[in-house]
Amino acid sequence: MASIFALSSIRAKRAKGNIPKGFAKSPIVNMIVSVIGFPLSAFLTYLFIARIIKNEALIRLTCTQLLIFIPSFTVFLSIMFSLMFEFSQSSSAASTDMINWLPIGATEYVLGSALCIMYFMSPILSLILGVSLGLAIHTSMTSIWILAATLGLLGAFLGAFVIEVVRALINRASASLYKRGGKSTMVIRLFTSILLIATFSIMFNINVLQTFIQWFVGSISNAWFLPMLWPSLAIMKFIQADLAQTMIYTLLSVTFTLVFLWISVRTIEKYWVPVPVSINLPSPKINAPKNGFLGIFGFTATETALIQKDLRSLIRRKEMASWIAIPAMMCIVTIITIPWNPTAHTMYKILFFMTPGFGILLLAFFLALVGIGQEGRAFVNLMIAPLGAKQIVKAKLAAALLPSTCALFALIVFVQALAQPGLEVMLAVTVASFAALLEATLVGLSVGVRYPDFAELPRVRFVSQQGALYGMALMGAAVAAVCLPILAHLFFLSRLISLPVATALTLAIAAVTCYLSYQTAMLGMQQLYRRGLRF
Amino acid sequence: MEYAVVFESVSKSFERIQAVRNLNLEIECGFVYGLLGPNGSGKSTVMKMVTGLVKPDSGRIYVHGFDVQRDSMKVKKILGYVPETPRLYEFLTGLEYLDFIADIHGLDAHIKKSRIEEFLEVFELEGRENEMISGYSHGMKQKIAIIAALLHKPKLLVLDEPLSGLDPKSARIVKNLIHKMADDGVTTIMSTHVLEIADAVCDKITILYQGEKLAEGTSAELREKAQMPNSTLEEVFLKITGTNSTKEIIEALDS
Repeated sequence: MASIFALSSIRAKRAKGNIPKGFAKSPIVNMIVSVIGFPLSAFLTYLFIARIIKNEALIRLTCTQLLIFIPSFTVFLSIMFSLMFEFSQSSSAASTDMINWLPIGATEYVLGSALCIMYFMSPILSLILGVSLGLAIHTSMTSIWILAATLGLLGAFLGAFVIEVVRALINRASASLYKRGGKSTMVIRLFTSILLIATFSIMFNINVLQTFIQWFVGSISNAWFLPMLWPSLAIMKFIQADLAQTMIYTLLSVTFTLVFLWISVRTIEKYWVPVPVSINLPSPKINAPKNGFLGIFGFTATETALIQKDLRSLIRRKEMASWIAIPAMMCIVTIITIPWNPTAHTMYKILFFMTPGFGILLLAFFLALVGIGQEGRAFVNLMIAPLGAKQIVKAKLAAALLPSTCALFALIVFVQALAQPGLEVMLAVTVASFAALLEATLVGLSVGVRYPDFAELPRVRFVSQQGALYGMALMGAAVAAVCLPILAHLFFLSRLISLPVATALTLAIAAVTCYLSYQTAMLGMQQLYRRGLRF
Repeated sequence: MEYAVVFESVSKSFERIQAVRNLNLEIECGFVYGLLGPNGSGKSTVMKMVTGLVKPDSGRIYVHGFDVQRDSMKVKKILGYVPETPRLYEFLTGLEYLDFIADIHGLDAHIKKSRIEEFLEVFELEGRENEMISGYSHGMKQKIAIIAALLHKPKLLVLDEPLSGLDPKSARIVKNLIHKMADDGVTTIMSTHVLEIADAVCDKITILYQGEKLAEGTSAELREKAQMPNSTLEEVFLKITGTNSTKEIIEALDS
């Protein structure tokens, strides 16, 4: 038992990576937050629910839906957390992990891993269980809550065991798959990663969650053949006072979890150590140095080589996929949560595209922010090469701007096609969008160059937490400043500032702020060079 | 006499640790120069200072007459460096990485092509060049790092433990390459823990200990200084660095 706890603690600390010294370093913090969070959320829910929702029937319905949903949600949550845990760990790090050569059995390994996931999930679990307890006490459904909480915890372990099986099988399959798949495997990996992160983010969107719970509870009884849903069915039958079926589904759930524990132990025993994948990417020839279409924008062959390298990094590294997932997630959330109304006012239609537009700004910002840190320790290659700070800054900017500009261009085409605003409005929107995009990229780079995080093990982060916070704040302020004249015209001062004047003001502000950000980025890069290697 | 590298009273410390103390060195052009010393003696710091990766706290370093701090761009153009652990872009294939390094150094397409193909063949990486570096063994990564350092035909090669992880055949190839390049006037500074290699490859050796230069000379001169004319370089090294009392330690471990 002690070795299981020790193992889970080691894995949790590895996953947390380079968290600063002090209290937050220990996974025990999550447990403390959970222990405090559970009674607090239960108490607050119990205290305020009647004031928030006046309709008792609605409270009862919400409580019922939530209790039925809990066990299935914890299975899903556990699977997602485990996948995210695996997602940012490099395969070479995993293969040399000391867990692989310590005297630990497969059962201890699986239980340790599952416990580690529990550490991370515990704050969310405690919140869900606390809120549902508050509701259950209010509606006198405490006995149902006890069953839901028990099956919820069981579900969390079930999810963790499922992932252990998946991980072991991936360890087995990935090497041969990657060898055979080549470039197509890279694309599949990229899209899977994006989908995974987008799903993880969307599942915490309250509107999406509410819609899903209602749909789920309505259709669960028709899906009795899915073992993952048996815990939820047990609760549903308990609410319907069908004790025989409650017993059957509960026993089936426990059996199913134990079977998965057995399967995961067996698969881990068989395929334990992940093999660092070897991917073959046939390249017919050595390229002649060229600057291609980037030459039109004044990029040299050397800068083009740097840009090409960064674009390959974006497509090929699983750690980079999260930055592409952000705009993807924002687009999906918009489509799911905001209804498109073809008869609405043009301005409403344009606003519909604001969330995806902001997602694209974030894409450019994050790519620039992590541009230096993503070099990792291979940054030494640039430091010993005959490159100037200006060349690197230009290349990093272009690498962040290229994909985001393409995405923004596509979005503007959509806006034009669907909202069909007048020429003046379209021009203003286009100018403001591209100015904000450039500004966000420049701010990202100017901050990223000052706060790079070159650490590669156990996890990559690319930018320090301090840098990420400063960057977000600065980017928000800079983009707001750039868009202010046009937004002011659209929403408040249309009589005081005409749209062409607002557009011209936006351009002027963008020119000044972009120049300042560029100079700051250049200065930061020169300082980074002067400071020398610190790893 | 023309010097490839000159250290003038160079010192460097990392927080409380004095990595290099008042080091003076003069390395002649076309020489293979060995840096020996126990772990933490300052060898890697000396090498990183030559490349400009680490800035000295005091003193000056010149490479072929260029000040490493002031004329860093000129120095980088004539320098090839292989760090202790290869730092490569693991998401690129071996070929893409070499292609990238060649582009950074501005090599022409045909020169780039012929050199890359030649080196891939010499180091027996043909057929593996299209695999992503993340799947390479340590030795293969080391070979790629060595090729990358040689692609632009540097005048000064800085090799930190260049033979670590290489199989005997590849190690022999690297040793022969170093000799051949020395004949062509290329200067090499290399560190190694394998004293037989230093003995066989280096024209001149400096022994560093706790950041200070303890001795300098050819291996024969070092033997003479240590008054051990018939001893191996290992015995000389242990005597000079004062770390020759290993017998007692091993006996203590055995008991």
